[in-house]
Amino acid sequence: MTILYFGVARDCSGRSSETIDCGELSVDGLWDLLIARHPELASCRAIARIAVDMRYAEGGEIVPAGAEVAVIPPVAGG
Amino acid sequence: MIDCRIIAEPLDVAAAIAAATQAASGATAAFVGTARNSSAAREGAEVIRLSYEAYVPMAEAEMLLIADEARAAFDVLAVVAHHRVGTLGIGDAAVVVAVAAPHRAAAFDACRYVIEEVKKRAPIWKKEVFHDGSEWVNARP
Repeated sequence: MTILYFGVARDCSGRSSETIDCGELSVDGLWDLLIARHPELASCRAIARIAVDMRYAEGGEIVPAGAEVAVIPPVAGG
Repeated sequence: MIDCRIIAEPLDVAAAIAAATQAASGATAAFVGTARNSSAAREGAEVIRLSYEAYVPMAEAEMLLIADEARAAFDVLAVVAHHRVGTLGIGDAAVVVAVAAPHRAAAFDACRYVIEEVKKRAPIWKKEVFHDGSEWVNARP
């Protein structure tokens, strides 16, 4: 599973991407796992969304094992 | 005609407008978003440059979807939307949206629709750089 970090989430995790070895899990479970690895991400959880293979995903939705996941803080384009 | 891209070099606004203009369009409406020197994140602070980044494939997909929505909702012939990433000086263009239509009402309305939706939905982020540090816009809970 590939995790991409953008914006303030990259500052909190200390990296722009990583590969993690895990099976499918829920979006909530993924947040728990990422925060266990990078505790500063806890401050992002309330404001960021998760995208799975470029589609936003919520709470109980399942993230497949080989997915590309992005941690997406509040957008500020334009 | 639809052309929606994330671009890592200075935007060519005139080229974007020219690309949108069609033989059948009587109106081309354009919006240009530029880097300004006042801060959204820190009141009263002077912004000396902006840094934009994007989740490029998802941002381009979202911009294409928005352009399709504009074509479905308004009588328009072409939608061009280019958003820059990288470091911008004050006054540099961060985004250009150009919409061509047979008539101006649809061109104006669709152009507004596209920029409003890009700002709401596209995975693009902006960091303001000050004399004494920097801050992501919209990042505070």
